[in-house]
Amino acid sequence: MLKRFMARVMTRVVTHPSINARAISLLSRHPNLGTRLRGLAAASGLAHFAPGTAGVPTLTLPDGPQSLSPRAQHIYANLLKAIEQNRASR
Amino acid sequence: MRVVVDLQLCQSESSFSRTGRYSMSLAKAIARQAGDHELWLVLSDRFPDTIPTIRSEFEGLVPRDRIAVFAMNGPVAENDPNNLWRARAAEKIREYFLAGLKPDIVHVPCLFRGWHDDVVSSIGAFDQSGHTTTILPGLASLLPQQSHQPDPHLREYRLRKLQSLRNADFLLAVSDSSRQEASATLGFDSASIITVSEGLDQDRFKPRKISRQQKDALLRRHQITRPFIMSVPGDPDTRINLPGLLTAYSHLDSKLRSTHQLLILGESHHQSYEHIRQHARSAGLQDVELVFAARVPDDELIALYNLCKLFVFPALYGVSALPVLEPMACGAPVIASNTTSTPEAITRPDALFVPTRPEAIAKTMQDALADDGFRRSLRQHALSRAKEFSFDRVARRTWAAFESQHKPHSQRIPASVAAPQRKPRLAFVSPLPPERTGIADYSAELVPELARFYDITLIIDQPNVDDASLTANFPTRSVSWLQTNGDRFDRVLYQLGNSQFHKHMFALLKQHPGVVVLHDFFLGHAIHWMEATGYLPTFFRQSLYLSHGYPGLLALEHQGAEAAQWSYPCNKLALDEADGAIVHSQYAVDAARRWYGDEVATQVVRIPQLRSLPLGVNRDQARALLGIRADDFLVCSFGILNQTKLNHRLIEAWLGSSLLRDRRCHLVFVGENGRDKYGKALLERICKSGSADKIQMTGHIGFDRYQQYLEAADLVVQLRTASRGETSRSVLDALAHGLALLVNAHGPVTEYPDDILVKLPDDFTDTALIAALEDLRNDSTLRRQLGMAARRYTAEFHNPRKVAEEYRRAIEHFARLGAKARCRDLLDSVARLAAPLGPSQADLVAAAESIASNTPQAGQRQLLVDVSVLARHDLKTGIERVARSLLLQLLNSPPAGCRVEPIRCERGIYHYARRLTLDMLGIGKAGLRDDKIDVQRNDIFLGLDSDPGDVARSRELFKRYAARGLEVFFVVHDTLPASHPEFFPPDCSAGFERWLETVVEVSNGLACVSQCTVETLRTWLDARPPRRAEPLHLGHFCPGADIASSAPTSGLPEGFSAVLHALNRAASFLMVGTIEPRKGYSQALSAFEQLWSEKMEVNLVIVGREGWKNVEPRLRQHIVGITRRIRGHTEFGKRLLWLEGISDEYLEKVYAASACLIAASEAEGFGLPLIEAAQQKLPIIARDIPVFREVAGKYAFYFDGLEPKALAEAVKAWMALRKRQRVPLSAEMPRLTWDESARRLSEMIVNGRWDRAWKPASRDQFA
Repeated sequence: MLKRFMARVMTRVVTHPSINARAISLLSRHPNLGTRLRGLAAASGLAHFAPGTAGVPTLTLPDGPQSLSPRAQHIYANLLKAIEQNRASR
Repeated sequence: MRVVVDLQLCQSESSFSRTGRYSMSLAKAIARQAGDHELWLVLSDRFPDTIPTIRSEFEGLVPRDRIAVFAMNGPVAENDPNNLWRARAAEKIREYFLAGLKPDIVHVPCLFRGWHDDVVSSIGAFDQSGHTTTILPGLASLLPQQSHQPDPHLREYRLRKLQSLRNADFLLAVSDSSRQEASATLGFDSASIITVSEGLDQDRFKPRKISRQQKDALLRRHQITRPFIMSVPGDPDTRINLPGLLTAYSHLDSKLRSTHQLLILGESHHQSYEHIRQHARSAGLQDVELVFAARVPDDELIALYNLCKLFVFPALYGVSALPVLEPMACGAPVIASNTTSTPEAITRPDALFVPTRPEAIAKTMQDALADDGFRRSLRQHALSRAKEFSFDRVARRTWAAFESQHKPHSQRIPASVAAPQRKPRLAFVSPLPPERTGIADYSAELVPELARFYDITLIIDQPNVDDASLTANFPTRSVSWLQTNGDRFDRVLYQLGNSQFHKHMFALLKQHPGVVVLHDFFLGHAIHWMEATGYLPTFFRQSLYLSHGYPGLLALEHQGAEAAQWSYPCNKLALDEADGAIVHSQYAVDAARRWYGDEVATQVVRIPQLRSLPLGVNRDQARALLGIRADDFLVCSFGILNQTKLNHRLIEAWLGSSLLRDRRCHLVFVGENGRDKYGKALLERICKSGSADKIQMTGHIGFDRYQQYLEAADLVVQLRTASRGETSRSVLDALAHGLALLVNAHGPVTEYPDDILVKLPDDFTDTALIAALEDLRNDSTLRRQLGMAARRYTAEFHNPRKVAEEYRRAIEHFARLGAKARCRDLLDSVARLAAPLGPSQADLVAAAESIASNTPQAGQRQLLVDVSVLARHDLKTGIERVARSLLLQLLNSPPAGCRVEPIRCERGIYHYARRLTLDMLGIGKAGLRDDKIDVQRNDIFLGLDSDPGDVARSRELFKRYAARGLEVFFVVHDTLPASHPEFFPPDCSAGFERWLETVVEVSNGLACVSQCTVETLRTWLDARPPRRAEPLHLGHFCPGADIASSAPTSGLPEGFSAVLHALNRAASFLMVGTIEPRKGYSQALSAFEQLWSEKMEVNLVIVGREGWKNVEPRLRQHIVGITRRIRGHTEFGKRLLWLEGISDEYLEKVYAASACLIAASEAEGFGLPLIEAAQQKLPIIARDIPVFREVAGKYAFYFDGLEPKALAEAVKAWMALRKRQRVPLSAEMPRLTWDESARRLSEMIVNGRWDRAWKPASRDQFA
């Protein structure tokens, strides 16, 4: 029920440029809400594909080097080494 | 030809745009027209939700494993200057990933994306090894001289994209107009720009019947109240000439304007129409005359095309004809600008106008709106023209363009590879003479040849080198010197063999990666020596595990070190650390593929051993020195004597042949005999035969003596079994000396052509060996011919100069284009990135993770089995028994091609559960840590005993896994908390629902423990359909019945025999299961009270723990009530027994002592006690519920009803039947062993053999 209502609201919003622009601006500050609404838009047939995180960029960062697999940690260490060498050669 | 198409465009918001639709349709048509070519699609994991949809769009067109997903961290949208470093790094990482697919052609449908979203597209930012093409955009507004973009940041972005466009190897144009424009402005020669034409999805864009109701709703939604004229401006850009259209519209008759509206459809929500509306107002238009709509779904767009009275497209220059072709295909009358690509689509002068003249636009609009006949004619023309723009035609032209531009990889290797400016410095790490290994002699021969290409330094782990030629020409350094000076070298070459002479190389290789020459494919003996001598403690066990997983460790545990060394190559560490590997036989290449998959085989090249032809061979002199007469027939077999050389077979054949009786024939084993049983047995056999004068063993001899035998021999016999891929130096020596050679077809020797030696079958008989010996003895011509052919072959294929040249090619290939080298180049390239805001630590960590994800790892696909609950606390319930048993079976018999890795979740991060697994398998410490898991595409995740909370919290992680190509499966042990919430605490049901909602959304398939569970799951899915694009596979497997295979617990408590004795005294009815509300214990207790009151001599035996101990007391009142009732019962300890937490060993004895199992549970996922009872031939009384019917069928006695009387009556009826020996017997009940159960589970998750699929519904409202 709620989903149908939201879909109807979104249809009105996206067909109304000024409201749409304001909605986009608002959603850019609330990426998770934006992602959920985009999913709903796709489910309601408003969109051809369910959009991903794009358009509402989110920063997804791992916790730190300790959260990496040993192989990724090895790459991380080599990347730091390469940056150091590059700095030294400048 | 392998073509890779980057489809990120169809993942982002651009998928709503015309370009997005075009790219998707063209990609499908390209897939349809691929023929023998190999098409790959590339997607980004930044858009995980879109990936299942796109995969389903290409179902049947592109195999799932050719839709590759690259990992990338974000955000990278370029409109935010904070993203610049990430965006630049992402470009390089993406190109690195693309190059890893080894494409012949990379097609990027559109470069000009990524301003607003996380699409990354570039050409030539890092890698130029592919042949990259893109579709030409409209250039007019992009060229610096034409762009009036005031935002310097956006201007820079466009200039970067323009540079990428220039970096393309060739371009595809959608029209001749676009082609000419690009040729004039970008300077591409005309052959490098190929017109492939526009394409239309004619199944979607076509005249449609739209009902009155749909039409009214659509027009109302867009506030359209009059017949309307439609225009689609695309980007809010000057090239579209929207002001010109508005001015022209204001020039129309007022009558026409008052009866029509102008609908302007936008593509992006980013555009603002306010300035357009202001322009319209200044042109005298009223607000009501204009309607704007942004981002209309496809089905609505097509409906609007069908409904519009006229379509106008007033572009000024340089855009595609697609905006007019789509409405044309829907039967809209279309008029358009005469200056762009549109005339090529419309081809009708009276439908074209000069876009810079508003009055010309107005006149054509006026003509079309006022003249019904003209509009009709335009409509018919539009439909007929649109038919000529099919995507299949575009795809055919695109493939033709790819084929015409395709160049083999060999022509694309950078020139610097072919001609280095100076000799690269090479560290040559190898044992050298006088070390007693064939590799030392091999290296001594190779180094002078390689010195033509490299400035060589010899790295040794020995006191001295006694080869004067080497010491005179090459500096010699120690291992420790290389450790501190390794960076001085451009290349490092390791000569690695299976002996302790190479012990120093493993650590060096890790520190200074280089190319490894694997003289032996199996390295277990060397590595085991290092562990056994304490050189590197636990190294053998670690290598076994890392190379071969738990089967390797199990072999070591149960069969011993020697067997493990012979059975497992144990060399993956070396292959992983090396830039590339050189082997001497195809056998070794195939072994690499067989053990570790195709990926590792791409890092292995075969180069023949080098062998120069011997000079100054003097047979007579050699014979004289050896004391052999000129007319003697000398048969030699070279090498250390042991079982693998089949020396005993040669001796037996010799003794059975006519050669024994020929006094001129001599057999000499040139090599050291072992002091083991085998060696002694050989000596005994020779002594007993009385032929000690004819069969000799030389023992260890020096190089000169060895050469003398080669010069003196008439025939060489080299037999072999249990090869581990090593190439025989002795065989090559014999060939180089032009000797007749007799071998059996085993191992790498099979690769020699048949006309240079005599090859017996691998499993030859003694008779065949005798016949071959005699034939070769008697046929000197044959021997001579074989010898000559052998020398010719050696000269051609083992020529040292040629081999050295091949070495150089391989070393340089690996150093520049090998996977490891490319990764190092990428890191250097990323390290050199300059951006106003440098990377944070988090950016670097994320980049490292992306690079690791995008770097394929050699090895078998992992079957990651989540046993988080088991790892945390084994509650010993039925579910844990199932999990433990299946895991053990999977570890002991992994599915073909899979490496089984138990994993556990800890604070949202999955780790390998190595400690748990080693404990379960009873294997001692192997120096292994529970590292974070390293997943690769094609791996399988199986939630066997997952923590529901962890799973629900990890929804995004699973989506990311699925996006990257992992297959995700869960075992559903039951759905009872969802289907029977009344039996569970409220929190439990809610948590279970969250788990279920997650798994139905993120999984590829769900494996249930019974058909009934499949059915209830399907019903649940129908009632609460998940949001997913792909079908969800459903299947079932049944747990096993053999307790012995489930890592049973053991131990019998004091007084157990008294209990068993009590059970045997009367008919004992057994109930097995934790004490929970649904298990029917209350009813059973009351029923037995009734039976006892009726003086029936029966016992009730309950085996199970008190359930829900971690639940708050108020929620477990029912359980507490039952346990109090049991403990306080007058029959407790007499005819009522409660055996809590007993071992499996004890349980088996209780089964055996009981008369009948009562399965009174009101709801179950399966019913493990039923099959365990059947295994013990114990009769069963079961509640009549579907799952028990499924499990026990006709082999149980059923009862119905929840009243105590119902069960009491059932027991009495069963007792009556028992007296007449008519009770249903359970022994014949069909059931699986745990091994069979695990195989069935593997069939589903590995081979895709599921029972059924639940399919999501379609959503097109106008379909």
